[in-house]
Order: sequence, then structure tokens, then C-alpha cells
Amino acid sequence: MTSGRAGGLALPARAGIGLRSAHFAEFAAGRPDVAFLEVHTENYFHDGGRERALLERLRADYPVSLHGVGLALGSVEPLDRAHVARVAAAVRRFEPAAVSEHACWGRADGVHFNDLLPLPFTDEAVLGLAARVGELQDALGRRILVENVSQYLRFRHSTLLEGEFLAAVVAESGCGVLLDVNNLYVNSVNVGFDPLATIDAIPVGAVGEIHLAGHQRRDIDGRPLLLDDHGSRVCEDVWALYGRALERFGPVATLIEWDTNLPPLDTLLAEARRADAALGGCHARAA
Amino acid sequence: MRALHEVQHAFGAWLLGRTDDAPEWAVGDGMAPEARLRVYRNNSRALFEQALQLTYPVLRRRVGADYFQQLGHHYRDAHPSRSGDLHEVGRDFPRFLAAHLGGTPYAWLAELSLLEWSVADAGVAAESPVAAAASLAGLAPEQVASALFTFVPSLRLVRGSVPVLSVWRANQPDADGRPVDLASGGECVLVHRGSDDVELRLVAPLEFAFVEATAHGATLDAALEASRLPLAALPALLHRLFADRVIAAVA
Repeated sequence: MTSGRAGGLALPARAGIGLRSAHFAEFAAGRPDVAFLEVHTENYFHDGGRERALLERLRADYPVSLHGVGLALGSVEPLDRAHVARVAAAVRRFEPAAVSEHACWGRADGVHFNDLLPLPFTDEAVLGLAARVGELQDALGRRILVENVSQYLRFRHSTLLEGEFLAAVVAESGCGVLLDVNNLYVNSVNVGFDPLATIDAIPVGAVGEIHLAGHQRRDIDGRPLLLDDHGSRVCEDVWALYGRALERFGPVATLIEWDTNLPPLDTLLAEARRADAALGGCHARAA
Repeated sequence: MRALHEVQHAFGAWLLGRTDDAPEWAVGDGMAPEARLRVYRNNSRALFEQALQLTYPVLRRRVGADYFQQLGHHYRDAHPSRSGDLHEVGRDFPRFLAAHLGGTPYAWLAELSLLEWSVADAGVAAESPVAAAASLAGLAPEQVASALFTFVPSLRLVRGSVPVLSVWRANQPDADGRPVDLASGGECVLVHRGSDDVELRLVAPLEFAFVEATAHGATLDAALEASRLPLAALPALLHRLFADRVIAAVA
């Protein structure tokens, strides 16, 4: 059934926000002005419930992006087939404009850590991740986007740069990239990755969505460590990096991602308007 | 050690606190690699605890944040997450608490946790059509005794040896948390998801036994016999079950 779905096959190149339960009442009462909504797939892939019913209604008015956090595609262990089946059912139900997951691992020896854990940038990790991305794409019958994750350490045996790793996964699996610009910045501070080199290594046309978020600074052993907590406004350095990403990739659907210390909805909408303004400038240059 | 499965195995052991050894595969970049791994260890623990807190807010309020955290640590050691769905993190907690607290004065907390798990699980159970009371009235008189009930998928049955529903209600966010006399008697609860939210219905023990028997496939007649529910009490119970929209079908 395709009737009643907002948007087309791709997300609009404007700003969206994450739909969070603290803002359900505002979305149930009206239709806040935002270009698309993103949800964590696992919060909406159960057989029933309040969340699912609300999203069923909202998808008539907003394009939806399903953002998975639980498949741990870079784990050596086989994919959780039951989890994949639930994601596939959610994709059939909500007909999202985008489906994404992460370039991470999260399971070992039968234990799931429910976190987005970093992969070494090696050929072995590229092939393993790309194989599981391919399996997921086959199960869903569509291309997915894979997001670069934040890192608090790097691996001694990595042989590729972050951007080379992502580009190789794209080439191997045919997936797209969900470029998290905050993660690029966090990684530049935490482990010294060059964010511009990462941007330059990703093929133009591969990026189907961008994430912007806030982070928190800690100091450990006298060195700064940025925690990717999605709990504050996007910082100026990340906005500047976002501008550089738009210069390379052109206007791309952009999500304001905010998961902890949730502010009033108006704060999220203000951040989305700022992203829209940057996208507007980008559209103007492209015209 | 550089193969991906070896790195993930060793990283996982770090996350579970099974080793504190400096990993040769992690680069410190100006700080101890162990300090960097501890960030991940703490994140992973915190995510597990947050998932438990979301599922068991009443238990946490009743026992206090510190003891709840301790219980969470023991639970994670015994039952680490096996799923990428955080809803599943709390599934085994009632069983764990029953074993962990069995024989202590706090054993009843396992019953309270089962009620909370039932509320959480009913909240995401499948949708279902419901039967109208007329579906029973439509049966021929000789068919009524052998009638079978199918309940909505969200129905959960919780039998407490203590007043679990009273404790649950006293510890809702808008309640004052006043102590409930645990010696005041057990409570039997039917949990299901209504049109908007999860609903909890207190029923008498014989009524509970009747519903339990029918939910396990007994005919109306057999359930009456097994539960010892007086025939005279049946119409009122059925009326409530239909009104609460917990019966999906009658055959």
C-alpha cells in the first residue's frame, strides 16, 4: 500500500529532526514545520504499541527515515535473522524514504553490547561489513545508508583512513553513506582523524543523509575526549564542517539528532532552521 | 592478535569487565588505552542500566537507585544482553530476581518486577481485533459450555502473593509512594493494552484462575471446574472481560 505516504523515494534535501517520545504530544496535536522525521528503527519495529500507531499517522504528513541502532553489521557473528525480519517488516509498514544503519560492530561471543563500537579500518573489516550490508539490502530489497561512527580509540593495525574505509564499503556493497558530521569532528579531536580528508574520500553522490548533533567534552589524562552524547546544540566547528560537506556533496537531507537532555521542540526546530539556511545557500549556488 | 574476531572477543571481554589488561591493538594517543576502553565499558553498562530503568521504574523507586544499580550489575553479569533490541534487556530480570532474592524478605520484588515486565511487554504486543459480547450470546445454549476464548496478544496474567498492584500504583510518578502493607494479601492482575495505553485490572483469585485456565485452552465449562469460580459469578466477569476488550474471539 503506497497511499497516504508523504514524500518520494528519497528524503528531501532539507532539515529534519528525530521523533522522540517527549515531543509526541506536539506531533499528535499538530504538524510542526519540519521536512522529515527520523526514528530509531528498534523503537518502532514491534508488533504494536503507541509509538507504532503514532508513526503510522505521521508518515502521511512527513517523509520518514528509519535509523537502525541494533544490527551491529560489522560484528563477525552472523546477522540476527529475527532482528532483520523485524526491520524488514517495519520497512514494509512505514515505507521510509531512507533506511540506515551504522559502520560498527556490537556483538561478540553471543553477547550484544547495545553500543556502536568502532571497527579497525582493515580490508577484513571492509569485506565483513560490506557482506552484512549486502545481506541486509537483499532482505529489505533496497539500498541502505551506512553511518560513520564516533570513536574514542583507534586501532594499531588499521591500514586505511576513515574515508577510505567508508568508500571501500560503498564500493563493495553498493550502499550509500549517512555522513555524521559531528562524528567526523569528534573523531578529529579524539583520535586525530582528518575530517576534510574523510569528506574528500567519500564519493560525491554516495551521501544520502547528513547528521548534525552536539557532544560533551571530558578531560582524561590531561587530554580532551569528546563524547558523542547528542545532548546539546551543534557546535560552531561542526557547523563549519557541515558547510564544507555541503560544498562537496551538494544539498543533502540533514537531521538534527538530539537524544539526551532533550530540549523543548522549538529548540530542535531552531537548529533545523539553521541547517535549512545552509542548505538554502547550497541550493542557490547549485542553481 | 589482529584478526577481527580476536579483536572483537578481546574488546568484548573488556566491556564486560573480564579483563583490565592493556590491549596491544588499541592506540592511546596521549592517554592510556585502558582509559579509552573504559569509556566504552561505562557506555555499555550505562545503556544496559538505562534500558532496565525504563522498564522497571517502580521497582527502582521502591528499592532506591543505588540498590537497583547493584541488582542491575548482578543481573548483567548473569544475563548480558543477547539482542540489539533494548526492550529485550529486561526480559529475564523477574526470573533473575526470583532466583537472586528467593528465600529473603525481598523475594516479593520478583513479583513486582514481573508486573512491570508485563506492562512493558503488553505495550509492544501485536494489535488484534476484539470480540463483542454478542459473540458469546450468539452461541447455541449447548455450545456455551464448550466455548473457547482467545485473548488479545497483549494480555498478561500476574498473580502476586503480596499486593503488587497496590505497590505499583503507589509508586507511579504522580503518586506519593506511601508504603503498602505487604501482609494485606495477594493481588491478581490482568494486564493488557487498551485503545491508548496499558491497563491493569485487579481481579479476584477465582476469577484469575478462570481466565488463566481459558487462556491455556480450557473450555468455559472446564475452566469453571478448574477454577472453582461459582457459576453465579461468571456473567459479571465475562461482562468485564468484554468491556475491557481483552477477548479477541469466542468459538
